[in-house]
Amino acid sequence: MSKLGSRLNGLRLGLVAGGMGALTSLTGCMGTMPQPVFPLDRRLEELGPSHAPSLAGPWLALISNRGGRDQVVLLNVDDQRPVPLPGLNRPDAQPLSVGVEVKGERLAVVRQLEGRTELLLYRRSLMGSQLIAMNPPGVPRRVMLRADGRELAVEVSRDGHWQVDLIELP
Amino acid sequence: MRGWLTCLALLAINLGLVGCGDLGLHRRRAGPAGLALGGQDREQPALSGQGEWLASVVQRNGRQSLMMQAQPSGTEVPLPLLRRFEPHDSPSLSWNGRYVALVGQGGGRRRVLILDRASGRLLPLPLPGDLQPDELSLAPDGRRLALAGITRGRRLVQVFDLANLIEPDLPRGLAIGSKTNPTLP
Repeated sequence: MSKLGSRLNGLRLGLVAGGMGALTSLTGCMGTMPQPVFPLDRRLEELGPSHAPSLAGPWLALISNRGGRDQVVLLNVDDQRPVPLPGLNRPDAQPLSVGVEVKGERLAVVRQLEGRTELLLYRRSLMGSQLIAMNPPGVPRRVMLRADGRELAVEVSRDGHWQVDLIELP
Repeated sequence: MRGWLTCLALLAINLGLVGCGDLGLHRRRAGPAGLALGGQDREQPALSGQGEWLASVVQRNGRQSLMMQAQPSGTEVPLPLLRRFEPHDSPSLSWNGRYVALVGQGGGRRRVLILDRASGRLLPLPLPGDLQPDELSLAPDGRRLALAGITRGRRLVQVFDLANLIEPDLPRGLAIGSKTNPTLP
């Protein structure tokens, strides 16, 4: 009798474990709801319409529309404060894409200025930018700065096709 | 005299006149591998944190499909779990390329997917509200995800905490349990 009882108990345990397993896999299929980072989301709503996010370490770079003009914004995710980027946002330029490295020192930006599209590398410590020419010639559209800051991946329009250029940085 | 030169240099930097040349940067075209890409488009590149992996979007059987390549060899690594979520957009990789995040199509809507290449597990992320994602950026350590998309009729960027959903993917040489936001040597 006791053997039968223990077998039944084992069966019950097995059923419970099986049910939990099924539930777990169902949850896994459905995914788990990610939590928004508060109060950063409030700060991002205040920024207005925005796109082209780039996350690395504590840094979030994006393009935000303020007063009808697109500009590059760099935020420290931990304290939600925007970081000044003197010399980067020109009133006559329209940024299209931005990438940031994990140290937050360099930003890569594709922008339109005076009818041309250009790729530049901005250094916060120098408050200045370096233009990077496309070679062979082409028109950049998107840029991604590797998290360690040592390479750019650039989507370039060339000969009627989109291509990817990899550019090592010193 | 030296003071004047310093002032001029600072002025040039502030005017954005520094470094308009090429400075002999080393460039290469992301080469095709395992796929005949001649004359085809390749878009939306994403490098892993230390450049060992390159993800990009190519046309495959008429649909936008993620291509994952080891670097610098260009060897393609197939990711069959993602195929049924084509078309793909906006890939993003973690430090060592363990996680591949992208916007895909599933159940008649755009959704965010994270593939863990170490475990082979695919995590579809349910999104709060009516957010329709179109761009994303995964933090290199995998602890956060920034999403751009339309929500309540507005185009916004939102940041989500993934710390309770996936393990961190830290750069080589960094001890497990290290603080977030590693800086590299």
